[in-house]
Amino acid sequence: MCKEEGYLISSYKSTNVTLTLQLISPICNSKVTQRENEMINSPEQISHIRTATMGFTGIICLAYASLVVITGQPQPMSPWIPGVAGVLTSIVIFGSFMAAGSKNAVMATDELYASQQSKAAQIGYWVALAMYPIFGLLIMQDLLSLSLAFPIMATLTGAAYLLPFAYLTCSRT
Amino acid sequence: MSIGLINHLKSHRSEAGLTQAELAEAVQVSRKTINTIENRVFIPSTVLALKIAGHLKVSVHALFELEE
Repeated sequence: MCKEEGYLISSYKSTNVTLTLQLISPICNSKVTQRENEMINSPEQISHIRTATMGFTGIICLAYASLVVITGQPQPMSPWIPGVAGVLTSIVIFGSFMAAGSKNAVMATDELYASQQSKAAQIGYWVALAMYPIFGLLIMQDLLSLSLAFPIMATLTGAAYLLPFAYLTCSRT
Repeated sequence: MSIGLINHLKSHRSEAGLTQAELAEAVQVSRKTINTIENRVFIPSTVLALKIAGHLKVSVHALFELEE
């Protein structure tokens, strides 16, 4: 990284005089232009967007499962909402990566991210597996109908990955 | 995660006059990764440890050591 780059960016932002920048350092100026063109300038911003959207979708999934239990109805709200939230989340995350550029995208998917998402996936996997015997017993005991168990298990499976991921990425700073 | 590994990354980084963000950018990871390594929350891979040591111009043993 050019040592003058940080100064140049702040100078550019404060004065908006591109001609001066070009006179000071034409080499760094190309980097400044590249940075300015990127709407998202740091891997932290991508991480925040990723955590927020995935956490939000996880909450929707958990809320859906909770509402099924509370209301006793398999469709307490539109059944499309969790799915649409998931699709929108993926679009927002993909868009943020595109806007940030490849360098920031690589930095935002480094080995800390891989470790955190791996842990979240482990939790999600075991929770999803554990739900089968638990819900099987509840259905056998006539404490829960199959029509209610299906949406609860489906949405909890999503929440079991999304919420731990959001928690891990928020807490380990 | 922090069991048995002491690291001196913060002091070496400070000696090199680098911020966490600058070191992170140099080794292509997020600032948070450097922060979690320094705080002994996250243990980096061998590859990342070598990259950091190489950028700071010290050996990996100078950055990390096993706790007795």
